[in-house]
Amino acid sequence: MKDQSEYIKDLLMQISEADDMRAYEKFYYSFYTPLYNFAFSIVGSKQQAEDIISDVFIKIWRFRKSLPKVNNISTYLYTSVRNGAIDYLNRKRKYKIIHFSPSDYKDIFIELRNPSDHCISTELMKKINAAINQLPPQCKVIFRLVKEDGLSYKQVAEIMHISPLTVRNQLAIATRRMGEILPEYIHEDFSSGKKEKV
Amino acid sequence: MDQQHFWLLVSLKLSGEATEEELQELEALIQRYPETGLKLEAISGIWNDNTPPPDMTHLFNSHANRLKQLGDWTENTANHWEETPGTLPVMKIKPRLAYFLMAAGIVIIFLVGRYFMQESGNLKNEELRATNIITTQRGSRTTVQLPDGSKVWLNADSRIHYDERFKDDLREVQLEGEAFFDVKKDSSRPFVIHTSFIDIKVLGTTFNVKSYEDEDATETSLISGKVEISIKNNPEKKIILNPNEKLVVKHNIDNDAIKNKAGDESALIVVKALRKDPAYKNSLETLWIDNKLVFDSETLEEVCKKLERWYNVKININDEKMKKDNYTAIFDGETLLNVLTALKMADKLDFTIQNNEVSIFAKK
Repeated sequence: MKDQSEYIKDLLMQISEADDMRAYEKFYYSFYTPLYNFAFSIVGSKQQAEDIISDVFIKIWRFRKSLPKVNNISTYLYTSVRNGAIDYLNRKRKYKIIHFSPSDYKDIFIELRNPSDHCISTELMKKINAAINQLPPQCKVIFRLVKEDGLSYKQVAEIMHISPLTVRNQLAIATRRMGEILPEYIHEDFSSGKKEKV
Repeated sequence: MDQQHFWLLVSLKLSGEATEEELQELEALIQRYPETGLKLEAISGIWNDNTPPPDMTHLFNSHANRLKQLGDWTENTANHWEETPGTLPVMKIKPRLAYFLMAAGIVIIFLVGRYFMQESGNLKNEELRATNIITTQRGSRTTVQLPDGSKVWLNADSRIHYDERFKDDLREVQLEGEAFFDVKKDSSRPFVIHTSFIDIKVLGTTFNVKSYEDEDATETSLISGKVEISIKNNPEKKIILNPNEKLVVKHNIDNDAIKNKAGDESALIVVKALRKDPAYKNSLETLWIDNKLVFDSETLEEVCKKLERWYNVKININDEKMKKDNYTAIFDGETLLNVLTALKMADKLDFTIQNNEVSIFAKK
């Protein structure tokens, strides 16, 4: 989302000043998937995650006049989704104080794609995916927020209530896990796919 | 080559968080170990190949319908729609929706009603303000950095919250449980911690607050700087602590007893010196942030409350008489079994553990 911030700002301005529903729709598309994934990793239910996202976007529309005052819209959205998700868990559990800790994230499935410009074998890609999916849920959530959603460490830290250092360490762990799957002499796989040892 | 460090640098580069020096360091590593360059390339390829977003038109349509049902799509906004050529499919749904409303009026009314009921409950004081809650479960501890750069260590079974106004003129947090604060100095914005029994106002300091509702006192231990404490039941009374002092406020406060002099053990508000052990640099009150479990002349009852939180277990003491026995010990990263075994060596108690439940009984 880093490179889109100007685009998003323009949309927000149109929503806020002109009640522009089309800008609102574009805004919705820009954030729906990452927010849905994030909600899902807390509530673990498709229907609930969708409802939570819908509530957050309804709020955005209702308070559209105040949108320009929001400092960082993506942090705001993720934090609202997180709060909505925790509210939902609260209602479900029937008691008010919720102890939400990193270990409460649901196990999600991450599917990395075979990059189009490299010839990493399908077999190898399967192994990399398996390695990533063996990571603890919190680590996977961090990985997805940084890699897929393009959030900064600082944003992820703020949204998940962890320290930026934790984000940095967890991401290093995830990256290393992927990297370790690669064979020692990787150019064999790259150039010819032959299995000779140098 | 240090693999861990190499992949740390790679992860920083990929996420765009690497500093100039870190990028240069990575570059140097790759020149020295050329095979790592190919690994970096392979991982970058995977990293940058994101899944294309699915078609979400139908999702937005149902969302827009919901907005309309809720009455948030006013005539004004609707007109705005119609003025725009090539409007969204949402508009075309309009007549269908009307039909649907007639056919299933009751259901819709029910849904809308349910939503408004939720609205009045949940969004009562709602503006664009998000409350941040950080909690720890029993058996876990955590550290967080607040938006102003202050650091907080949160002990087990504790909870801290603050809202978006935190960044403005007053830094305010609510605390339940125990936390160690390292507050960033900012004389223009006081930092205030609210607990059930006391409020603590500080500028830039390090100190520990322990305020578990199920314990009989709230303790504030000051390491450095200055804090001002006001007691909820007696707002005129303000107490200023100096470093290496702690304030103990008993929870069953009644106003007559406050007249008792400080220093008297029976008083409900007492200032004491922080407790030190020559073997440790930090005071006993704050050793928990170094992962040490401390019992400083505490009754078995207090010891068990701490163990329950620290290890997330349930403990029953089967003999009333034992509850007031005193224990003193410091444990560094020990298992529950080791801690209990050590307590047992004091020769007064024995225990059994079953699942997550510990039974403690008098030694025969």
